[in-house]
Amino acid sequence: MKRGNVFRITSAVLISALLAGSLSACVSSKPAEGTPGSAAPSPASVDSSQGVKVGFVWPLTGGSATIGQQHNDGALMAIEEINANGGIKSMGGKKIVPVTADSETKPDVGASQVERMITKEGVAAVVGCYNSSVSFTASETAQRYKTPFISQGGVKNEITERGYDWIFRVNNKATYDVEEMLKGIDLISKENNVEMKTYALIYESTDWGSDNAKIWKKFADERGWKCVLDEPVTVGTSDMSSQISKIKAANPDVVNVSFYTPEMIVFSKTMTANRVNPRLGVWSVGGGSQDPAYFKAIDPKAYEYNFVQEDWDVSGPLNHQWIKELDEKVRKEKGYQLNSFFAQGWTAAYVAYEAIEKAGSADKEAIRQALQNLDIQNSEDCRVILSGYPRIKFDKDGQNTYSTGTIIQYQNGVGVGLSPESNRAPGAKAIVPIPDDFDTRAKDGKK
Amino acid sequence: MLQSVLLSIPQGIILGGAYGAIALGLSVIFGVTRVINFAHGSMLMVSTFAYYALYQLLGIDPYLGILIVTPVMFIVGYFTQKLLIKPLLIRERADVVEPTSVMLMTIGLWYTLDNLFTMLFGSDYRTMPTPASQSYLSMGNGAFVTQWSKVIAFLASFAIAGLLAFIINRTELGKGIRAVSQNRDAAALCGLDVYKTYSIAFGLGVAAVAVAGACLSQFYFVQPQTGAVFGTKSFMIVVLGGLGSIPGALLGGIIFGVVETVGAQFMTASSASMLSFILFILVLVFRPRGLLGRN
Repeated sequence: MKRGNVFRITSAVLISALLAGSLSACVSSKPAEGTPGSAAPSPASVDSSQGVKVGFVWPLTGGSATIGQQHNDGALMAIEEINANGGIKSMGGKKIVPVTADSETKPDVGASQVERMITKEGVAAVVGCYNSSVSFTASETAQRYKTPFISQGGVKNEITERGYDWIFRVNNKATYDVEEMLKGIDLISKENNVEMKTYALIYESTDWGSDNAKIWKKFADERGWKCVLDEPVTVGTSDMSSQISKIKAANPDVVNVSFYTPEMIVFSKTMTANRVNPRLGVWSVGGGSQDPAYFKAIDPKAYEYNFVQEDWDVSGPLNHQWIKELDEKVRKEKGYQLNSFFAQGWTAAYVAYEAIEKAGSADKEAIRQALQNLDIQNSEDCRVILSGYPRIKFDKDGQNTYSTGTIIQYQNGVGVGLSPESNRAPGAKAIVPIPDDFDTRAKDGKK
Repeated sequence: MLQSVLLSIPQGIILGGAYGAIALGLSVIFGVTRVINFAHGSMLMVSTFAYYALYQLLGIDPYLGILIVTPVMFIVGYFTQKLLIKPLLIRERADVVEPTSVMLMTIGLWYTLDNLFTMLFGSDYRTMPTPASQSYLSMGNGAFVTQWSKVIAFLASFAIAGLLAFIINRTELGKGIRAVSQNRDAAALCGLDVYKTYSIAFGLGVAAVAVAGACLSQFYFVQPQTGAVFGTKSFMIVVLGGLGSIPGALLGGIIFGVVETVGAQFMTASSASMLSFILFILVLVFRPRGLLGRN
């Protein structure tokens, strides 16, 4: 063969191999093709001879990667503790076997991972998925396969409003989030005599951000507040100078923000650089604002005076010895401080355990009924509710009606609980109107 | 309102300069080899990862990293042309000016590189807290604020354009490049190694995008899908400015930047990027050779 031909054939083979390799990487991350209705519901009970498998689906890569990791850390540490304390006692000490999967922050991938866990891994229940858009589709899959789905993190109202009886949400839903924030604004504006009239909405354009904006508008209209800007932002946007200049021009009293970590970083930096100061502050629904990775990436100046709706009781490590000890353990082993996401991952894993313990078997219907009848009261010896809710009990829609959060404000780099008043430390006060001290704010703030 | 619209114009110009810097390499590659390189965005993405790696592992600032990454990317471009594209060009030598199999090959390369990097590094968004990315240029007491990294990108676009123009217009090598781009066979008859010239031009184009990558990585996330975003945009810019025209790529980039930024004042920023596409379609309909393009 001529040298040229050998060379060409070799190149062709190499290129085909490369293409095939990359195509298979593409294909494996696409959802499995399965038509609804054609998949037979999986058997009600699962093989528990090696322990009871529980599936966890979190965003371990993609825009919410750091948040997903923290949920996973919390869940796995909780399972470790549960297994070390004797496992599922009603099943003779069987261990819980966690099976983790990555949703890649994508709804279709999340759904296919849930399907894989149920059909191939044989999990007794699924916990996940943090992102509202992913939880919405993933829970649909679980419902189809008649597998208990413990929704953790997604706040989209509809997750528990579809009449699906296999879905139970531990955390708050979007309506609660907005109510807490608006109550917080009412409280703080009254206490400090700063009138609230106008607001701007800037949010990530998937379910979480859009739903929050819609609900906010509905309740804010009832109070007679005016919306001066409604700005959805595509995930992955790295430059928000246009949006920030619009906010500046609109001059709202409150800026309501819903962003995951990468966009929250860009937002805070750009707001600070452009010296934008809404009188009653920036009110963040959470997401990136609760992620240690966010705080690591920016100067305390950039989030000083921000209000954040935290999905857990931030005073936990201060008021409860066991939480303080856990916080130290997390700092040592994971390198970040105990936060809302770790707490929620932990609580969700514990709820799964409590349900299996109560059911006494890995039978999915039994677990579902156990979840329906679950009633966990928070107390000093209760290690389930790291998130600080007073109680976990699901209503007829599968929603935990006792999931509450705290509104905090960052003062000198530290989050101070302000609303509801019961979560306020003595002497704590909101700092409003927001001072125009861009050069000196948070000078001695801690990270 | 008027003030914010007026202030958005310089923002758009600066952003547009950055876009132009990225599109320059594509313009050179097309102008000389008539190859439509769909993998252009992927080369940009690969270079940003290279800067990220240098920064994370050795602490080298991306601007310094240009000295290391650019020659490497030149070699990558050179051999991409020589080993992957040249065989296809030779086979289609007889007929077309823009060989379709080469175009398809570059599409394949695009998918391969993007997915390879997603496979190796995951789809996480990474940032580099370098001095340029952290500091802001502020004028008029906060009236006009932009990141220094964007300003540097804008200035770099002119530097890259100037350097490329110098090489093409004032050097012996450049003479060869111009000859080959005017008439491939005549150049061959004059004793020029056509395919070697192609490889060098390709290498130059990829090296140019590598420099742009150093600037981009400081105001945009480092992630495997960067290529898809900016590759498509580069195409539209190069078509607007005129395929093969260096000042055209810069002008096209600036026009895109201004349209997007000013448009964002009247609608959401995501909708404003739709305006760029509309502009692209209008250019294709009314002036297919672009603003400054040759035939």
